[in-house]
Amino acid sequence: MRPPGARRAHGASLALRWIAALRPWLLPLLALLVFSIGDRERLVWMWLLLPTLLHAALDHWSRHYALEPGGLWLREGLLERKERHIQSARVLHISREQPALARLLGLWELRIETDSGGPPEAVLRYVSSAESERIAQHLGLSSGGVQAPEGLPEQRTLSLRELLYLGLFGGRGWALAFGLWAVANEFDLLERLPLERFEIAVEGTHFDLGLRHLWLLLALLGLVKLLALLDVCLRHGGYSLRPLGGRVEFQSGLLTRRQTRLDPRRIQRAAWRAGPLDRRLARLSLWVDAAGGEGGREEAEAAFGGALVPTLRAADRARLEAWLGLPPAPPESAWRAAAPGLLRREALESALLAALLTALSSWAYGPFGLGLLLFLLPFFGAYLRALKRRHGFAFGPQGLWLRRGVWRSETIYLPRQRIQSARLIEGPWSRRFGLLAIAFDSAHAGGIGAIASLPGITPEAAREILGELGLLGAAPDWIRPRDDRLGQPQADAARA
Amino acid sequence: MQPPEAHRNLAPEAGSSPTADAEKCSDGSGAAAGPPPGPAAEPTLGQPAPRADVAVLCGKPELSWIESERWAGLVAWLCLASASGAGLAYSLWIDRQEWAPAAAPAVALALAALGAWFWARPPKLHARLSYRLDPQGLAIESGRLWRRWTFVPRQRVQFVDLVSGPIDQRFGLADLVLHTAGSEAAEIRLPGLSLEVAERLRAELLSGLEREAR
Repeated sequence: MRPPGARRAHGASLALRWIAALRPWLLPLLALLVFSIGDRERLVWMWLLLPTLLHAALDHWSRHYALEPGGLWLREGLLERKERHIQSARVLHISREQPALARLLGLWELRIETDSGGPPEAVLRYVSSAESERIAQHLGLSSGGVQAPEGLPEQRTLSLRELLYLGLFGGRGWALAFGLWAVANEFDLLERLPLERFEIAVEGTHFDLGLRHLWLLLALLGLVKLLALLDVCLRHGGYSLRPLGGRVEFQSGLLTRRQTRLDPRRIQRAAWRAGPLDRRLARLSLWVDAAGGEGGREEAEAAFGGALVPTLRAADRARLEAWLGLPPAPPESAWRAAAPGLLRREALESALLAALLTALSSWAYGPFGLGLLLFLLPFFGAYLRALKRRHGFAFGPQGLWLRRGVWRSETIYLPRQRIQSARLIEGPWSRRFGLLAIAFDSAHAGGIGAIASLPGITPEAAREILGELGLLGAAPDWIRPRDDRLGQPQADAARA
Repeated sequence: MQPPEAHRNLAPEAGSSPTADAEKCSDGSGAAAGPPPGPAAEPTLGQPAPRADVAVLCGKPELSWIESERWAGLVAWLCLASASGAGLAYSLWIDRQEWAPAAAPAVALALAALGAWFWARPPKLHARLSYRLDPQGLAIESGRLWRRWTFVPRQRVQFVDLVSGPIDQRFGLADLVLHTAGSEAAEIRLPGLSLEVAERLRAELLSGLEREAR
């Protein structure tokens, strides 16, 4: 039964939905138009698009929503009708997206998510700005308050300097440029560089060849970085993060604008990330997972465009943590260092890799190839030193902290109440070094990667973590001390 | 391969059916009267301590699951063998490719190896797969080379499915599928249970949820 005040999405949204429905057909449509020049009879095939347009129209016509006391009522479907009630108290976050065309009409696509996982429980395409605000306010009444602490501005934005930093130094532009350079080298594009025109090339010398390589590499890097800068401007342009009632409002995007209202108390997992340059310049980024979404990176990006805070000075971290209600990271003394077995395994793997690369290099360049070792050994030494520092776990009063990653380091915070399941995995190679991996799944594993996992820990460490989480009673036999190893039935009998 | 009916009765004789093990855990050992000692009395993952009046069930999949898996393997093998056989026959006698006579023994060898793997794998899977449902939650252990242990706290189970395909139905088997609110490990599957045991496990898990709801 339709409650009073039930309504459809904004009338103009039908046009937007038609455009969205036609988008996958854009290329065939263009091809048809091109091939129809001089032969208009071919345009008759455009009738094939009619079912798509009709479906979009019927879908628009059949969807209704209404604000009820304490929640939202939704109805959709023509033949199979579905009604849904969403309680305000269960709403985890509300995100809204505004594609460029919708912005011209002042319309938003509103997504409402509860913590049940899966796709958003309600998607309203499209509603006016005032209406989306009314719905968000109606659903957000039950929340408490988030106050910005002293010293932190009420609204956090990205300065032009930060946008430039993200575009020029973020991402993997160098790797891409080197990859393109290798391809160009393979196809002899270097020979075609018009260096003579600039009178800087000396024909037929090694200097000339080196110069060509350098020029090509710089040109490719410039191109890649220019594209990255454009991408960053499109994704993070207009970024802001501000407290709004009981939630934090995130907004980002230059053309397609995303806006998400997140309840900080419902954060499933938070990860601080820093690349090598970030560490040098004392900067980092904050990625959070909130339940809902389909669990993929795309879903997280749809909500936050990637990171909740793309870049931040390390000095501001504590204040932002306090603002979002995240606990501070444990002191360095509380962290358990990487297991000696992990260092042994990594040293052995590094030595094998170095031997293989040196053998290949010697095969190609003779005795000169051995020189590669001079570069590889310090590199692997530095890798092992960094691994020792940046791998481990710690316990906080409210949850578990994991630290991993050598090149791009990551510190993950898992609130104890949000862990859905725990796993232990032990492979044959790791077993030789007395190592295993532990993994946790939270209510939404999108955005940060797969599950929060920590490879290369000892069985003792696994026991410690499981004990801290209150799961030691169910721990498998193969992580118990040898004396304590009993078959499960015998263990049960012994307990009885 | 014996007919399924013969194997439906095999598990109780072998003494490794989940029911038998469950009885050993819950009734035989008396562990049903309470949770395991030590950490079980503590709160799990920040949730209140589990109640004591919950049964402990543990065991392995039915022995007939081995046969069921072999039948499933046989079906897959037959599909693959007929497809590759048809392709090879076409290349040999119709298209008359030069490489076809040389490829025939290699394909036969690969199919034989695959068949042997389909035959030998299920007992190994069965030997290493076990479960344990206690007041804290359900733990599933599997694998020989790659050992895996998965634990789902009772409080985190959103809903439970029983899934039974056509071959499983013939053997009276079902898979217990647990859904949590997670996404990567949102679906945790315990295969090869008899319908009776699967329903008992489901009832135990759901009764825990109902108690918490009350």
